[in-house]
Amino acid sequence: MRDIILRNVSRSFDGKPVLRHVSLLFPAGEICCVRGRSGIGKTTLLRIIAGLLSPDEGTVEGVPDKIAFVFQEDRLCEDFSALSNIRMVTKNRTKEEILQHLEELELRGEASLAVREFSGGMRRRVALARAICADADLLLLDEPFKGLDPELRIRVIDYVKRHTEGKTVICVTHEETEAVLLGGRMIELEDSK
Amino acid sequence: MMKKPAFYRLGAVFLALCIWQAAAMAVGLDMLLASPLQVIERLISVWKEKDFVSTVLFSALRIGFGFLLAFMLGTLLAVLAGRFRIVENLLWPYVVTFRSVPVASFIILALIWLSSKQLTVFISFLIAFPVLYSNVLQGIRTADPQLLEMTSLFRVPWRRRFLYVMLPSIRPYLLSASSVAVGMCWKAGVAAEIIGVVKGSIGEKLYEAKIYLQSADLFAWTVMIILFSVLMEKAFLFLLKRAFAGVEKL
Repeated sequence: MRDIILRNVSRSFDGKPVLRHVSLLFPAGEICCVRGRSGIGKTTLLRIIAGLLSPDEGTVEGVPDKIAFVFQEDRLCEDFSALSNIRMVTKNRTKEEILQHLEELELRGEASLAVREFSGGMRRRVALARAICADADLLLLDEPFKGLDPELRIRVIDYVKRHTEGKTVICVTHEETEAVLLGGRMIELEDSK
Repeated sequence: MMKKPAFYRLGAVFLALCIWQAAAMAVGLDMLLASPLQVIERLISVWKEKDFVSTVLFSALRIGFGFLLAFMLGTLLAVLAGRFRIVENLLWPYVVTFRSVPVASFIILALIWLSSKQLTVFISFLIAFPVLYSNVLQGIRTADPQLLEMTSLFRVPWRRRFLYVMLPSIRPYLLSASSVAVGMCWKAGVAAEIIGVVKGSIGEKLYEAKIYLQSADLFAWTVMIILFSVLMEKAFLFLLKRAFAGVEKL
């Protein structure tokens, strides 16, 4: 596994610059939290690293093949159960293993319910379990703890920490407490203007 | 308690029957316009005829087979067209032709090429295929782009992508297309049987009704066609919904 290096990355939308000459290093196997005000380009940064967006300028190096992403919008298959949503992205996980993950996220009882019946917090946890169970080398988390109450958030952060040891994790968050609890490096994106 | 719209509809049906009865009495000739009572009498007697079951089975099996063929081939080719643009381009002339050429032209052509027993299957297939193909393709095209992006990022194999993302998107299109196509198959299938005077079919019964000016027979068989068309539609949609529910439980 290699460090992920962004060199001089710029990206604009409709002529409006969102990222301008950003250079960053995310060490392999470590957790990095990216913070910054709304609209500063945190999600754009994750999407560029994931290869979902091309930078207008600059390069991204060291991105592994196997990536997992917790999107801001959950992106779950509504008609399918939590179990099926996770099973969809896994190759070698048994049903019992997936149920164990759902148990840790306090969702075992709801494992076979269609996710369209889930609350925002439950959906978030399914999206997190899906990313963890994908066995990726790089996890990109875009505000992964949004919608969770403070006590549950602590337990879910602990779950993420336990299951991402040795993996590169880049987590975008607004909350300083989340970044502190998750540990690792803290990167503050500042206004590029 | 009966809901108001249903009450009004029943009232409208009753009024329509009264108008029909009055028109039949005004015409005064059963062979030109049978009254609703005569049609009801014929409906009661028609299913007791010894060739009733064989006639209905003859047409229903062929129409059903034509529809199923169109359902399977239309869905399969739409899935392929959704994945490979070249398949869509190659199929385009056929789909446009099937959709726009009058069904009577195809019936005449089929009478030259095929035996009259194969005619119903062929015409039912021809009518249902473009409806099912276009709708399934539309369903694939309207699959959630965010989910497609997610599955692409997670490197989800194509089969699973189809099952989890595309199939739920296809579902409403396939259900409504199947509902429309079954009715269209019955209309076109029976029309083909009339033009081809297919022996032992419902179309032949309608043709005989026309030849012998038996309007009560004509109406009675028309009611039967509507009834069997609705039955086939309901049964097929029930099975299709069950199949989708089974997939969602995977």
